[in-house]
Amino acid sequence: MKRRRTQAYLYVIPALILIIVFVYYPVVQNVIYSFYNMSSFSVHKYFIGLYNYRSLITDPVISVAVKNNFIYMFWSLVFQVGGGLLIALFLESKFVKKGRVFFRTLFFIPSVISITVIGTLFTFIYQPDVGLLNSILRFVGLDSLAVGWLGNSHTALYAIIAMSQWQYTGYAAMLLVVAIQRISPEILESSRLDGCGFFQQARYIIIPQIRDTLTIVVIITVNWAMQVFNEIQVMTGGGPGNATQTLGNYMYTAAWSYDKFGYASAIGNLILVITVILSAFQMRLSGFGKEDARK
Amino acid sequence: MNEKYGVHFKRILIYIVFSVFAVTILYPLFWILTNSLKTNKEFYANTFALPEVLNFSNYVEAWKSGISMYYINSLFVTVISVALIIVCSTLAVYAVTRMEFRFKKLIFALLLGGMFVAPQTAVLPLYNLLQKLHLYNSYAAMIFPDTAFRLSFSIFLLYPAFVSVPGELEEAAVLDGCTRFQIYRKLFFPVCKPAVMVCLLLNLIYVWDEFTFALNFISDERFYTIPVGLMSFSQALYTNWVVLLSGVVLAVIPVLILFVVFQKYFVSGLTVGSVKE
Repeated sequence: MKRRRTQAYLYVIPALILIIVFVYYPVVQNVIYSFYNMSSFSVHKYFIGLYNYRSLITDPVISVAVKNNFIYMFWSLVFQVGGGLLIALFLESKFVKKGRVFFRTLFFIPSVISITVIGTLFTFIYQPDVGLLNSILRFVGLDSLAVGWLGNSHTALYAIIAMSQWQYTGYAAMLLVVAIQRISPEILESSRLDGCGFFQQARYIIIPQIRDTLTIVVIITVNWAMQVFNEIQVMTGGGPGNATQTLGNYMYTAAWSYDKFGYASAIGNLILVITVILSAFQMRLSGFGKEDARK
Repeated sequence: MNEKYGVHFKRILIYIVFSVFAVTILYPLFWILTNSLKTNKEFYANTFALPEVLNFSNYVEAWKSGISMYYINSLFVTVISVALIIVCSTLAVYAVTRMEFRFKKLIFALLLGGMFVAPQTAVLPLYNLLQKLHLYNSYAAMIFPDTAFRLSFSIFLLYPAFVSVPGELEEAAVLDGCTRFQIYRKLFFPVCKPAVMVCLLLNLIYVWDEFTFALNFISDERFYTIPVGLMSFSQALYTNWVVLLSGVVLAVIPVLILFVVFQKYFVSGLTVGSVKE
């Protein structure tokens, strides 16, 4: 019995060590950094207490960034979770017979492509003069709508958000399809015989059954939106002005362009607090891990 | 009769929605492909037209100007990281779901908790840590952070499959004289294969496309993976669109092939998932 116990630690230790050294240790360090005025080039650092956090509150760019993160989150939830769920339900419904695998595969494809490739593609789609989007708009006679999507501070953020939805809705749908397929066919069949319509079946049978996966999808989506950096960095770098600034991108700017390592760490902590609170809340809400009781 | 029409109507509606979405995905990809085969002159004249002659020299030029090196780097980092992720996460999830030990709850919480940590939060301290460990600007500077940051999510993903393996199967294996490790390798691995495959696939894609760490922890082009390499590639070739687009095609092809191959396995593996109930 004792040997078995020690053995269990051998199984968890590789994962545990990697997570502690490369995830938790940096997080703790990041908290420490945030109390200092420090630079990436010099070993000198000066303790300045909560000064960085006070700057966070008064920095107008931070409120723009937080707002942008939440706008990003809102539309991602609508398209990736809402739209993705609908697509998954359609794909697994009796309405779709032919092309099920084809559509599912195709919708998933954008999410496997790296952000720099997608970025190159969409930079061209949004290009003001010869870009794909404006060419189509002019073709159908909507010339007045053809703007420089990424150069315009009113449209730039939404242009990037649209790109993300294009890329990740199919990914969310795929995760949900996998979950729906794990529901036993008898449950679905009997509910169908009981006269459940499409939406009734979705609401009372399928969604409760795939709750854990749905939680995963929501957490991924929310976290992704709160830490969005790659998309911004590749498309606009936060501009024009600070129109597409997000916390993740502002942190990068503060660290490498302004060389304010301590302040950047404070921004990092803000991202951490927001994502941890939102995820923990979501986990609790959905009751993930209740399956434990089944054992 | 009425109901039948309803079904038809809904079916057509769904297919229209699906087709529109499909076109928005396929057309841009088709556009990249056709333009990558043009000359720059053709490209600037009309980006919608098809190329007059298929101009494969763009591909040769792209391959020679760096893409080949990025390929090898990406391949190396991805294979090592994903192997580490799968081994570490399945071992951990097996112990957590099937063994009793002290501090289990705390350890499980620590294992899962990493999921909530945004990579951004760790970038600056990791930069300093990697420099202290003399790992900055090396493959290890991507492999270790990539692996560590994917473990929590992988454990989370594998947990439902491992927890739902019937206890009787395990007891039978114990009676047959299997050791713990044999049970993990010969029973749980095959039984949970669909979940492990999903985990493998998602991590493969994630690490292949990883951008943030590669951007922050690599300064030498020799170690550039495709995502970062492509960015420097596009800055170097910003007027030479056709070669840039060829590079884009070359960067996408392996993932697409890999995905289509895996997809087959993925789908057939899903039917095995009926273990759950």
